[in-house]
Order: sequence, then structure tokens, then C-alpha cells
Amino acid sequence: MVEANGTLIKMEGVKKVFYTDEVETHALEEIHLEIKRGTYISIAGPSGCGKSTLLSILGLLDSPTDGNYWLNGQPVAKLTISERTRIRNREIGFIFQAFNLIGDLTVYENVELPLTYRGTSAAERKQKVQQALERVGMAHRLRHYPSQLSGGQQQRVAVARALVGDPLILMADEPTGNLDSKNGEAVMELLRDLHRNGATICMVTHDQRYANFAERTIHLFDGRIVEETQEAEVGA
Amino acid sequence: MQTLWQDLHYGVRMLGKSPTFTVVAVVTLALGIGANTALFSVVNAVLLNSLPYHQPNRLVALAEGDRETSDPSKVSYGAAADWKARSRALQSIALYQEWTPTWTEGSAPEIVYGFRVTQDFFPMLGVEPAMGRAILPEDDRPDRWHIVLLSHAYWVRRFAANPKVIGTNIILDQVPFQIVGVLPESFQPLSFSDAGSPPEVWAALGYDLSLPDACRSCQHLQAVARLQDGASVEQARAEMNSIATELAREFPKDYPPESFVKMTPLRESWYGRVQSALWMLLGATVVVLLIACANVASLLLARAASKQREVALRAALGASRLRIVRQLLTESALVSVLGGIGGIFLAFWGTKLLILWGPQQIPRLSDVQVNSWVLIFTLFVSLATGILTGLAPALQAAQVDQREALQQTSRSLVGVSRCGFRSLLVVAQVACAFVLAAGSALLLKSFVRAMDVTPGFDAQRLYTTNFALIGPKYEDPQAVVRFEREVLERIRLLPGIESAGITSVLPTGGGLDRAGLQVQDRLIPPPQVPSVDRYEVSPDYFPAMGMPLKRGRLFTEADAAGASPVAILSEKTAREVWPNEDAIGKRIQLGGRHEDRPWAEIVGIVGDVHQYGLDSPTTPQAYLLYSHHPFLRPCLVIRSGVNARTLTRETESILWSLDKNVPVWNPAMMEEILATSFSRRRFTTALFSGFGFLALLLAATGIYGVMSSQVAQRTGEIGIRMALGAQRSDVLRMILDGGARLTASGLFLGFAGAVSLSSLLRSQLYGIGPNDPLTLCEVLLVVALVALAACFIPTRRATRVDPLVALRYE
Ligand SMILES: Nc1ncnc2c1ncn2[C@@H]1O[C@H](COP(=O)(O)OP(=O)(O)OP(=O)(O)O)[C@@H](O)[C@H]1O
Ligand SMILES: [Mg+2]
Repeated sequence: MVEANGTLIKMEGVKKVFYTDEVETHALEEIHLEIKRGTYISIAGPSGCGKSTLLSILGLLDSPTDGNYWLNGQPVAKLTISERTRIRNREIGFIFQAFNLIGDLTVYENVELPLTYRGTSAAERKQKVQQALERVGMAHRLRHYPSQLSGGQQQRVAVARALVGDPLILMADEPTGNLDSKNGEAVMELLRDLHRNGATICMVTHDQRYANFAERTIHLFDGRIVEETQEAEVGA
Repeated sequence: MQTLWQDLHYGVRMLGKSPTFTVVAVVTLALGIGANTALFSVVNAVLLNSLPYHQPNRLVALAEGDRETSDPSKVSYGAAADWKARSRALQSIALYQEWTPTWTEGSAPEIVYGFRVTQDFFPMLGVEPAMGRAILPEDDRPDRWHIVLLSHAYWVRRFAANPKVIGTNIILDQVPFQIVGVLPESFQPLSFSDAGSPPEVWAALGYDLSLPDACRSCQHLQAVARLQDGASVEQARAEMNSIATELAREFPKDYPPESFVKMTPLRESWYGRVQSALWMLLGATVVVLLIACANVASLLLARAASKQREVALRAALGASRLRIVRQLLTESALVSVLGGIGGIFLAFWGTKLLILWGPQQIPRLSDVQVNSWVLIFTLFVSLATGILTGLAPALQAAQVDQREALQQTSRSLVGVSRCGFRSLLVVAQVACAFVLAAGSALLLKSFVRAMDVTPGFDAQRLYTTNFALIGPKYEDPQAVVRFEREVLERIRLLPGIESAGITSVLPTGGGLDRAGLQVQDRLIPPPQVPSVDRYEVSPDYFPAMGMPLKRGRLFTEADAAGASPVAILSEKTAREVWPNEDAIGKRIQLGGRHEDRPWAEIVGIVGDVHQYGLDSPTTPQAYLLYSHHPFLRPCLVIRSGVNARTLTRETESILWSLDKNVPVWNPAMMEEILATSFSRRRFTTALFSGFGFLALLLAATGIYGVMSSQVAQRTGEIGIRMALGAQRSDVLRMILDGGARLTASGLFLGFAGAVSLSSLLRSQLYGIGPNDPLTLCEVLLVVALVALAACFIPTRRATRVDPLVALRYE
């Protein structure tokens, strides 16, 4: 384990090239990045600049074409598929723009999902799911199916699912993209709360208002980091 | 009309757009419809067509039974005469008997297959000769019966269709018979001879009550009767049975107690044995078709799901629900009509194969053809198929909520199962496939077990042929014995011969005469006299057949030359008659008890033989010496390392050097005879197993299809699960679990179905129960494995899903 303010994520010269039908898309070029534990960082930039690609590499959903990436001090490149899956399951919590709740499962089961894949005991699962749902204010909807919830509620459940396993870092790709502004703000408040309680958060957004919730904002353009801003007294 | 045309046009276009779907669906249906049509054409020709006689439903077959003979097939002339005199429910009773005279005018003497029939036989069937005259009452007398009618085929083959043969003579069994007529080409005989050959000549029976063979207990004739107008089978049966009881009371010497008359509608008595097998096979093809329908319905459902937006759009634009249903039904109807056309082609081809492979024991198999009835059947089946496959998808598609389908809702949800009905179809398919597979396995096992039965002799390297001694010179029994002994001696001198013998009836040929076994030192009351099959053999018959001697000794040449009668019993007979004693040395008579005649001493006990076919139980058997009971139509058995063709040539030359008028027929190796005796079982088993295999294949495709589209539908869900930490093994387990659940439910239903349908199969099985637990478990395993194999590719595809799809948002 790294000490409280140590480096959680480190990237050096990360590149991502997509090869499709003889076309090379350079989605990311020479990304250097360090994220410390407990940071709330946002990634901003115009559509198609590579935000989601960066997040998917950070979240071990994809691997870089070139460059090095250390997660929690460990070089990621050498991991096998099942080790990557294990790390995704234990260290990373995902929040998607499209909520991505599983329609056949109840709210409770959806939140429970990451825990079942790591073999947590039923009693512990129950307690953790309960806690996570309480944190997002959805504990009263355990037996509902996602289709019976509003979009904002669904995204809150998705947040609960992301944090139920106590991940090192939360990755969110446009978590408010499918929400109206009122619900969007509620979710952002929720993330800010989580951050205040010590969570590391990495969020993609192209909404400037929400980017300001973060301590650090990375601006991407054409696959490169073009600017970095620091919010001085966020959370103060 | 206009809209129908539009629908058709659109349907054709849609099918053209997805050729894979169209081809798969059409081929699937063609297989199902083809199998049905082919089998239906057989059933139609063999079972559904009425018998080609005048008012065939008024015809019944009669047989005399008693306590001993519970399933009789024969009657006596005397009894038939008694019945004629007393019955009012029967209009007439005709008698007939197989007859195989020898024709000696050609280069080699030849056996001709024929029947001898009473003069009312053809009039009763409503058959008139195409040429010449019928058998007249005055022909049907012991001194006048030497006239024949020719079958059309024989007339063409032997007499080159020469009309001038009428009135001329043909020499049969060295006696001139006058040809009085030729039967019409369309005439179908009632039954074939044991050799399975259609009869070629028909003579008068020529009995009257004065003949010894006409006695009331001389049951060797077959009877067919026509019901009196207005009388039902039940009435006639009741009347005949009270007549039988009456007769038994009046003539206790002639009729055994508990006499009865077995009356069966002619169709049933003719088709009884094949009927259940054919219906069972037709049932199997129906199940195959249902599975095929389920497959196509499932494909159509998948298409309907993918067309939801289109349908919603049409609905929004004002298409009525009816219109939408019709449009979709048009498409499925098109598919099924194409399938039907394919099916007819397959059926044309399939019926040819069926005729080619079908055993001769299925009557009228050669009449099978794809005729208009069959085509109507196919049309009906195709339309039913179209509706069956199209209705569910059409209704499902038409139920789409227009608003919902046009909005971008439920985007945020993944993995909402839409395969409910298709899953049900898979369950049904697995169940049906299990039922057929279980049936196939039971039939196959029966077949193997029947083949495995030790016949009681060694069929390998065993050659057999038949010959007959005809003419006045063999009226002297000693001449017969001399001839036969001479033949055997000469055959034994041939190179390579181990042993050679003769018998009156070869195994699988049954028994010629069943006789009561009388014991000298035991007076058994008549009804309890054990009845045994009696065979006359030469001493070398046992070694030639490879039959084991169990106790005592075999016949010797000295026995054969001597005058004192001796007998050999089969083990079963000895055990039944002397359960606690040694039978050797006991004295018996076969037939009635005649204290004035000599008693035969039992000298040996031999093993039991499956005389009526390997899949029939062994019967009590007794062997006597050929020289003490001479017979004119022996069957020769030769054990040797010599091939059949050489043996035929050599035996023929030996026989013909002694008498050039001896016909020799049916030369065969014993193994071939055993194989032929299995041909019907083989036919049923092969066809049923074929359908079982097809069913399994179709069910596997069905499972594959549903699992594939399930995986396709759940790609998003799988991706998310993987993003959240599901390992490949988790995904594998999840998908397989779904497939296994469907399979398990199907197997459960199939098991229940197989058990409840098992009684239908019972009559076709041998040596195995219809619910044999081991077989059912094996089939369970096989079907489960096939189903899991069908899940394999979709499941593998599922484990290859890229978790990145979780991030995609479209
Ligand atoms: N799987 C892929 N194959 C080929 N090209 C891809 C793939 N994924 C992304 N790209 C390309 O890489 C670039 C970056 O895409 P990315 O999804 O990261 O953009 P984004 O910044 O998230 O945009 P948005 O704000 O619209 O979500 C784009 O040009 C995109 O077309
Ligand atoms: Mg993006």
C-alpha cells in the first residue's frame, strides 16, 4: 500500500493508435500523467479528443499501444487478462454515461455484482450493498428493477455499484451526460461528497461547470494534454 | 387482393435480403416435411388405402383357437363346413392354402408359388379373371381340382402374354393342370407365401368332407369370410363363438374344450404386424417436423425482434395490427411453401429409397407413390407449418408498443431478456428430441440383443437348400428314404464337407406340425397334453447344425436303418414334461395315443433352438427320424468350408443325377437367412434412428440459434460484467448455465414424455423394457452432451466480448 498522499497512477509516454480498415487513428499521443491518492481529477476536451480512450486505459479496459503505465506502483503492461480483470474488480469502480445497469437484476443485485465476482461472503455482501446504497440515498429501492427508476436514480445506483467494493479509484465517463441538469448536479454533489471522504476520482466531462468540481482538470485536444488547471481550494 | 400481392412482393424481397436465413429455414422445413411426406406416402399406400377388393370392410379373417392355441391362424375344413351350416352373420367363408408345386418343363425343375382356394374365394373378393373363366363349383372337388388360374405377371413372364394358353395344360408336380384363366393385372393377393414371393398360380382347393385332411381337427387352412349385409363384426364374432361352444359340446371328440373363433377384420390380420411400426414411424416424423417448426419459429422470432422498430414505424404510420400480422405471416407462409416444395422433392427421392430398402414383409410397399393424396397431405402440412411457425413471431411483433419502440428508452439497460418464447421452444425441442432419441436407443438395443441371441445352433459356414421329391415313384415311403440317404451319402463324399443332414423345417421357418406329446407310463387327460413342435431329421442333422447334445446320445445310422422308433427332445421339452426325472429312456408318442402302435424311446436331449426366429422365444421341440417318418420336401443343411455357389452346383448335380425332376430352391447360407429374418426390424430401427438423429441435429441447431442470439443480445451486459470484474470463467458459467437450464427442463419434460409414450414402443422391442432405466440415462447423457456442444460456440463468443463495449454509448 502506498502512503496517504502517494502516487496512485503514473503514465509515461502513453500512446494509443487504433487501426481500422487501413486508417490509423492516433487517439492518444505522449500522455504523461501522475495522479495522487485522494485527488479529484477531471478530463475535459472536445468530442473525439481521446477522453474515453484515456479513461479506458486508466481503467484497464484497454491497453496502450506504447508507453508505460503504473497503477498503485505496479506496471500494468505485464498483467495477464485475468489479473487485469481482478484489478478492475478490486481497485477500480466504474460509472458510465449510460448507467449500464443490468435490466434483469434488481437494484440490490446490480450493486452486489462486483462483490460476487470476488467471492465475498453473502453476509458481508449484504452489509456492503446496504451501506453503498445508503451513501447514495437509494437504500429504499432494493427490490426495484432499474426500469422502475428514474435516470437520476439509476445513475445513483450505478455510483453505489462503483463504490461498493471500496476501490482505490472511481472512474466516471460523463456520468451526467444522460441526465437533466438537476439530476446531474445531484450526482456531482454525490461525487464531491465521496471525494471529501477521501475517494480518488477520475472523471471525464466536457461540461465546464462540472469540471470545476474537480481539483485538477486535464484538457485534451487531439489526443494530447494541452493544458492543466488546478482548483486551489476545492473541498476546503 | 392488391394488398396481398404487396405483402407477397415485400415478403419475397425480405427473404431475398437475408439468404442465409431463408436457406436455413427452407432446408429445415424441407427435411421435416420431406420425412413426413415420405412416411405418409407409405402409410397411405399400405394402411390407408382400402384393400383392393369388393367392400373390403366387410371381409374378416377367421381362425380356430382353444386353450392351447391362444393366437391361432388356421382353420380346418371340417370346422369351416360346420360354421357355414350354422352361421347367419357370415355370408360366405372361403378357404385357401399355400401351395408350391414344381414345374418341370423348363431346363431345370422349378418351384412355383401358388395358392389353392375354394371356388367362392375370388367371387367373395369381387375379383374376376381378366381372361378365361373363374374356378367353378364343379372344379372344387377332390377328383377335379387340377385347373389353374395364372397371375398376370406369371402369364407375361412364362407365357409371353400369349392369350392362346387358355385351355392348354401346364405340368405341375408331374400332373397336367388345365389353364382356365388369367387374373387381372390389378389383382393383389391376400398374403404372400413364407418366402415372400407373390403367388403365380391359383388352383382349386378340391376338398370334400370325405378326405382325411378335411377332419375337424386338421387345422391347416386359412379362412376369409364376408359379413352378411347388416351384420357387424361384433355380432358375427359373438355368433361364431357361441357356435364354437355349441360344436365343442356336440362333438367333444373333434373339438377341444374352450374352443373359440378368432375373427379379425381382414385389414388388421394382414397388416397387424406392420401397422404399429408404420404408425410409430409416422409419429416420429411428426415429432421431427415439430422440432423443425420450432427451429424456424425461433429464427422468425429473432427476425421479428430485429424488425421491431420497423414494425413500430409501420404501426405509427397507420398500419393496422391485422395488416402487420398478415405481412409477417405471409413471410413465414412463403418459407413453409418453399420448404414444402423441397420436402416433396425429398419425399420423391425418399420413397424410392424406402421401396428399395423396405422389407418384403411389408405388404404393398411397392405400391407406395407420391400421389395426389400425398400432395394434398403435404400442402396441408406446409400450410399448418407456416401458421405454426409464423403466428407467434407475428403476434409478438404486432404487440410492440409503438411509442416505446420509437423512443430511445431502455438504452440505459442491458440484458433485458427477450428470448422467453424462444427458450420455451428450445425446451420443447430438447424434450421431443429426447423422446425420439430414447426410442431410437431402445430399438437399436433391441436389434442388437435380437441379433445377439444364440440361435441354438452355429450359423457360420452353414449352407442350406430345399428340394422336393415329386411324382408317383415317391408314393413308396422307402423310395423317399432311399433317395434321401443316397443324397446325403454322396454329399458327404464331396471335398471339404464336414457334415450334412436334412430336416423337415429349418430354424426361423417355425414348425410344420404341432403335436400332443403322449407319455407311455402316464395317462394325461386330453386338455393337459403338452404340445410340441415335431421335426423329422437325419442323424447327421445335429452335428451339421452344431446343436449341442445335452444328455444321452444322438441318432445313429443304425437307429435310422432299424425299425424301433426313437426320439430326441429339446431341453425345454424334457424339463417341462419331466421336471424332476430324467427323460432319457422314457417312451412317448406324438399325436394321438395309440396303444397298438410302437412307442418311441427318448435317447437324447439337445439344446433349444429359436425355431420361429431369433426374436421369438424357444418352443418345446421333439425330433424324430426321417427314415421313420418320410417327407417329400426336405431342407438340406451342410456344414463345410465350401462357398455357397459351389455347393449349389454340386448338390444340384447330385440331386439331378438321381432324378432330373427334383426342384432345388432357396439356396442360402444360414447367416443370410438369419439376416433376412431381421429385415423388418432392421428397417424400423434404421428409419426410427434416422429420425432420432435428425431430431437431435435439429434440436442442436435450435439450441445453437437461441444461445447465439442470446449472446448477441447480451453482449452489452457481458461487457459490463467483465468491466466490473467478471472473469471469463464467470461469463462461461453464466451462459452455459442458461443453456444447461433450458436443456435440463427439456430433458425433464422429454423424460416424462418418453415414459408416458413408452407403451407405444413395447411391441417393437426385444429383450429390453420400454422404460429401461440404463438406456434412458444413457440417452439423457447423450442429449445433454449434444445440447452443451451446441452451446459451446456461442458461449465461447461470449467469453471473447471486449469489456470496452461498456464504455460505448450509441
Ligand atoms: N475502437 C476504436 N476504433 C477506432 N477508433 C476509435 C476507437 N475508439 C475510439 N476511436 C477514435 O479515437 C478517438 C478518440 O475517441 P474517444 O472515444 O476517446 O473520444 P472522446 O473524447 O471520448 O469523445 P466524446 O466526447 O465524443 O465521448 C476518436 O477519433 C475515435 O474515433
Ligand atoms: Mg467519450
